[in-house]
Amino acid sequence: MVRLLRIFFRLQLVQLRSALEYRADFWIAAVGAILQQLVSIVFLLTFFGHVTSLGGWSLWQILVLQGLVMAADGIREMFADGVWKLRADVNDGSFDRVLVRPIPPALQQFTALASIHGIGNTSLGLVVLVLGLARSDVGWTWWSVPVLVLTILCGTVLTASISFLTNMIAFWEPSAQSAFPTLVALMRDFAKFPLDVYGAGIRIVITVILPYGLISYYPSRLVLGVGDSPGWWATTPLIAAGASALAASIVWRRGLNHYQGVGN
Amino acid sequence: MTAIGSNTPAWRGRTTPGSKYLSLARTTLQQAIAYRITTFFNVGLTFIWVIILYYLWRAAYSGRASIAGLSWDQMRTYVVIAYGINALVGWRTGTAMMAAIRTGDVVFEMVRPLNYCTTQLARALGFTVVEGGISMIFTLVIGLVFLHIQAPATVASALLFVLALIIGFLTKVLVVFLVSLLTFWTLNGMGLMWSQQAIMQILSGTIVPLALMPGWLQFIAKVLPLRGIVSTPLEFYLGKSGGWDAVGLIGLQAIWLVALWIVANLAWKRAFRVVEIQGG
Amino acid sequence: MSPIVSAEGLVKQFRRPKKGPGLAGAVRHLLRPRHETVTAVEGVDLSIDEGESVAYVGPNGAGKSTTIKLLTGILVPSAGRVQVCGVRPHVDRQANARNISVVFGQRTQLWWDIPVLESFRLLGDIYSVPDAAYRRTMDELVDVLDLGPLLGVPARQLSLGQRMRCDLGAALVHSPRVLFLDEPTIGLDVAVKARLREFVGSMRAQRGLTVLLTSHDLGDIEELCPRMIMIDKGHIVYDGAFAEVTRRFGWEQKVVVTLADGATDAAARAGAALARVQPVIDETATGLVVTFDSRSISSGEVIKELAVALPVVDLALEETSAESIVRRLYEGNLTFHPADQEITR
Repeated sequence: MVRLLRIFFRLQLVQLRSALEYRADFWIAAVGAILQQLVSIVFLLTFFGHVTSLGGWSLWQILVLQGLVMAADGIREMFADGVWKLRADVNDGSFDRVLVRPIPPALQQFTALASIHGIGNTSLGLVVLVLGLARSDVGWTWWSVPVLVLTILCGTVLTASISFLTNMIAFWEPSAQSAFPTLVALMRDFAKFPLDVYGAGIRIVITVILPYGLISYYPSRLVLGVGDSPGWWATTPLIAAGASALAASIVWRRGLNHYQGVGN
Repeated sequence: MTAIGSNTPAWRGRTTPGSKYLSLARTTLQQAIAYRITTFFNVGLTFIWVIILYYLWRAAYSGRASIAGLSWDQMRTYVVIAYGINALVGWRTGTAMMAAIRTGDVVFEMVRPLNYCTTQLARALGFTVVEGGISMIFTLVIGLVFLHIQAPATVASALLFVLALIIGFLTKVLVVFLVSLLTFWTLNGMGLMWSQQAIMQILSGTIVPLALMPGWLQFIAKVLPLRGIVSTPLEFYLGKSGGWDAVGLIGLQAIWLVALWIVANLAWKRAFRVVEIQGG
Repeated sequence: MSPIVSAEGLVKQFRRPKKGPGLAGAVRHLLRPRHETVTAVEGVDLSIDEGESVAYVGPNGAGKSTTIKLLTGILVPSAGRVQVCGVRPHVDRQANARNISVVFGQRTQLWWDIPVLESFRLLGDIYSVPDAAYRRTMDELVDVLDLGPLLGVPARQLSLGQRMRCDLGAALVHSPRVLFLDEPTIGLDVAVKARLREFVGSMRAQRGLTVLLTSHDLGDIEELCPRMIMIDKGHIVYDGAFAEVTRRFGWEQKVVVTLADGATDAAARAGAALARVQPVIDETATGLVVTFDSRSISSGEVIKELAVALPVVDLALEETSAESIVRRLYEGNLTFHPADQEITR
């Protein structure tokens, strides 16, 4: 286990070094990624220029939601972005290499890409989060920070599992482009705003099917003290992370079996 | 042995310059049709924010009739149509061009007796038929069936809307073209695309109508050409502008279009020269 | 001693969707999908002992790469059994991975942007090679393959020949027992090919490395592999010594005839003259090529008949070598009948 972790970080380091070979590209990608996130911040700031509360949430409280989602996804981008290369690898046969090495194929796939520019998103997310927390009236307790940290880490697991799962379509439909995984990944933007404003349909989807809400809205309500929030909501990130990781590993195994059954 | 007749080579009789570009557009259209499912998802992707914005504005408008001069009906209409317009020129136009530059395939373009800028415009047209078509379906279904958007304010405003839309389409293609050209000097196309998309979303009035922006941002947005892509057509659609005001807006769009066209043509010729010096 | 690589009754079938052309076909397929079963490999039996070096040849689509993928655990067999070093590759994949190594000629396993030495170190880590063994192996590889000047260079800056040397070294970092080489010398110049062949040969001699090689380059096969297995249309059609091929299949001979100008109906006249043996006659720009079975008629007789029937200017008897036989197999000019081990056209 320790050995696998060590190899994981070594492989990531290799990708990092590769990425730094192209320094200009790193900055452009980082700036581009940040600008994308900034769009929703700009929207928020403009929006709150005309409105004082959204579904009972203040601007700063909503920034907490934004920050949690951004940070979680940023970390995922740094460490597990290789899954977006799965389709290309399956199609050109590079995936075969993964099967003849004595380390788990999933680990190899995670480290297949260097998206170290994810650090931009992570930093922005943390800044936004801290800003939001500072300006909200938070009743700090001993568990506030641990819950927030747990939320971000579980958020990383969730976004990584979902992007992993959706990219596995490549096993069954190698010609499918990455439009579908991108679409699903983008649905996390719903969780950047309080779920109270949405209709019932979306609330259910974002809570149960694509549980982005479990790593932003529910824990935030608890920490920020918005409305009545039962204590067990502190565990929703764990539920989301656990369930999604389980689903991903089950489908991954199926996908591997399929690949070994039909080749490419 | 192939029979002569139905397979006569296409070069027979096709020598007028105009049709060169049209046939390019047609080829791209065929490619785009092959990718229709991907396009469907990509357009659907952009409509996620339509849904988010719908709910957010609905919450904002509960308890008040107008914000910055826009009613709830008008705001809803604005959001849907803004994204519909944005989806007319999707991601494919820019990435196809950048990919050709990155892989070096662009050398084929360099040795053809064609205007590179017009070529990309023709390609964009090909893509837009499909991307625009699918976008229109989304706009009509989501807009009319689910969100009950308004029709154009008057017939005159509908006509002005279409005119501004066309100029805006050309403007967007030129901006995407200019940004994609940067790939000659850097390598990371995705970063450039993200930056351009983000800035465009803000300054064209897509994410938020210009009228709602803080003064300084509004000023910047009104001066730049990006507003002509989304904001100006919508101002006509909603009947917010007429008479001399409308003339002024269209005039501004046109001036920017010409300016961008000139810059674009200077830029690509410069880019090609740079590549030649470096030896490709 | 049990063989190090063994396959029994190996079968691999694929289900391919049958789609009609155009939009109508796509819709029909959506509603009622139809599939056809393609058999890539059928009833393949292999037995390779430790230290052997075997060439695996066959035309494209014959089932070559499918067999390799079955042996390396990339594909799961539809039926039959595979064992490599006592392990079933597709079942105990990671255990199998430690015993084998694969070199793909077209694709490198080196990381693209980092110095070659870093790739080697990383592989040492991935394969859990103990420090002392790693250093020892590296010393040997660097020496024999002359990797010294290449170690600090990122893989993307290497020429094809240099990269192949490094890939070969990389494949041996963990001292595998079986080495699979898939078209390793493709695109390489003669000098580099010679070097690589020498290296593989010495690895075999010194370390008892078992080698399975697929290649279109018959020079590779001739120099490295005393044993050759030929596969065609999913069946093994030959399994024996390379040199034997000439003896077994070398009865097909060709006479290249140059004719005087103005020779009419040359092919027909030649066909009539040799009608009793039914040769295959191809017309060329300068004359004819007559292919015949040397078991039914001697080359001398063929030449005599042709000289009588036609205005022959020049004649040449084409040498039949194992090379040309295998080459023609690759070109699709020969068909094997496994049952009677005969070739037809």
